[in-house]
Amino acid sequence: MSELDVRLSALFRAVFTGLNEQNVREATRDSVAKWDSIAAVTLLTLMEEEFGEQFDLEEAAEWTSYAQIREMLEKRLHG
Amino acid sequence: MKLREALELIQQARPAGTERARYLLGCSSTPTHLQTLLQAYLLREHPKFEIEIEPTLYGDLLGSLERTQPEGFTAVALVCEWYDLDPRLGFRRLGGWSPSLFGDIVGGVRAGLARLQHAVEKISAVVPVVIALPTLPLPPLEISVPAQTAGFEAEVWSPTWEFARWCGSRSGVRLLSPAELDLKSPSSDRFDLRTELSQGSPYRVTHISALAELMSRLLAPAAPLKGLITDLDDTLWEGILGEVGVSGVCFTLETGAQIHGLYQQFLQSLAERGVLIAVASKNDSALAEQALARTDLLVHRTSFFPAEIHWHAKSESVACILKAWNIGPEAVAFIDDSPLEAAEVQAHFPDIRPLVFPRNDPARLLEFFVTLREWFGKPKIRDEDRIRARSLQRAATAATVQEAPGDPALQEAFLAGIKARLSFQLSRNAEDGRAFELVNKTNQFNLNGRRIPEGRWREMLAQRDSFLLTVAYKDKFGPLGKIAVLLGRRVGREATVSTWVMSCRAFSRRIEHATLRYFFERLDVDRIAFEFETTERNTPFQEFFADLKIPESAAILSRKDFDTRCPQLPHAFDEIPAHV
Repeated sequence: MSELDVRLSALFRAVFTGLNEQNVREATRDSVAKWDSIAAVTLLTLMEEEFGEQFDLEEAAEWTSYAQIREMLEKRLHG
Repeated sequence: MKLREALELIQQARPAGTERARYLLGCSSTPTHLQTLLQAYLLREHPKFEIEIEPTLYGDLLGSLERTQPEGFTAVALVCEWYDLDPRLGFRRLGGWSPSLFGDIVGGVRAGLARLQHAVEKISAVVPVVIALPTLPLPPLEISVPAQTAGFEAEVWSPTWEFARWCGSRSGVRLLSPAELDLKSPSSDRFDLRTELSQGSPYRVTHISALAELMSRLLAPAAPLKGLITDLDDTLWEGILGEVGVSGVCFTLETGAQIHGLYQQFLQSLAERGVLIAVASKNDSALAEQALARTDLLVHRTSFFPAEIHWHAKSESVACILKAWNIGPEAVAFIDDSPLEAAEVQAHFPDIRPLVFPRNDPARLLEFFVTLREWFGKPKIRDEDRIRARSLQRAATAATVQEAPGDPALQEAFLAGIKARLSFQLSRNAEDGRAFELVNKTNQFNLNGRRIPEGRWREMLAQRDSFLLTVAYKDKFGPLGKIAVLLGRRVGREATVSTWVMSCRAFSRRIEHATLRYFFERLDVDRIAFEFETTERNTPFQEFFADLKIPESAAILSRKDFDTRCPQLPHAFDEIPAHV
């Protein structure tokens, strides 16, 4: 598992209680019942704390899965 | 604490049967992160509780507080920002910043504060209220250079400070210190206009964390320490007494020893607030007594009890002092300029709080005082706190007299000769702060070791069949003040006692027996059921039950059995009416 996955999946597990490692990698907004607007704001804030990057709320509203967020982060952090 | 740490702490499983504490969070912005961090800080300090935080409605702090039914909450925390007092002082409304509106806005602030005061008055009569007054900067209504405090700014702060003063006068209201918040969260690093506009959340997470940490300390304050043991040479004063003599020790600006004078002032202030102060010094006793009697010292000789001055190990002195005080090392701070002495004492008493005096380092003195304030600070000082030290000295004198005779007849004669008088008060008065404090800090003579959060205390006493019996004591050696509390319910001719505590200062005077006699007679009951539980520290209570042959498994005492087993009681007593 890459360092990015380790850090991001830890944030997912902090926000969405009860997800294991495998669940996190497959998590989507539709499959995780607790993924509502409050959870999205919490995830956004955790990502800002963890990666030192700023994210817009509009941007967070379009996040639909772990894989998509990971891809966005990969681009943002490593160009 | 970071938000992630907070979430992880909240997710940790709690042991079964944990007690529940429920707090109302008054905050008109999006409360999510403040709610999470406040919950986490409260859990960190009180891991045995299940903490629940209920936020008020978004955008309506004052209205929410006015509608609040505080019963059922443990306490209320609220953050009032400028926009809560007048929405034009926020960034999410466009009501105009014209100078022609200033008078109206100040009027809005005054009206908002009046509503807030009314709501807080009502809530704080039931549960404690913790308030943070505006923590965010005012918007740029006044076009003056940022370095200048503009007239408008002073105008809106003026009623806010009046409100702060009112908060300081209310026993159930605790105001968060702006100075302490400044230290933890610099004002330039608090506000985030980006998240305020996009999420309705004006705070940076670091500021939320600082706010939550400080609020948690006021919502559920730690029990203050009771005693401080201080060294003399290079601590209470500068210089080694044996080398420089009585007139050679110094503690003033002129002699370059001001930090010792400041420490003396601090000790005197602690002593006047009821903190026990003792001396543990390796010194010539007669010489040290002469130095302690110097009239220019800023702490009075009478403030020290006892003074252990000899050449034995400091840990031996500490043992004697703890015995004289009759308190445990976990309630005591040990101050010495020598890290070695502090380590020696801590090796013998791991629970004591050692603190090295910052000799030759004035820059660290303020930090030293901050630590002591953290350890000894309490929301309110009561008369009982002030007389505690004196009564301990008298009790020690009495104990010397009392310990001498081993003969029971002499013991009876001693008790008969001390002219003991008890004052009982039976009420349901939830405002009795001293009773509440005793319940939550007494360990040894404690029926079951239970602590009661303030909200639960008020809830219990609001029940019609509940009672609160308090006992004050005095004898020829002086008053001890209010020293015992019983709490419970009476149904028909049976009473259930759920809480019974008595200060360790009042042991060996048969006050507990006299209390039961009064209880049976005044409440006119045939039986008392006790919610007894053995704890690690309530041995004195267990011994009391054994003396009265009350089985720990079914702790019930009939009036008949009590009358048969009760020893002779020489006390006089009186009753204080409930309304006093």
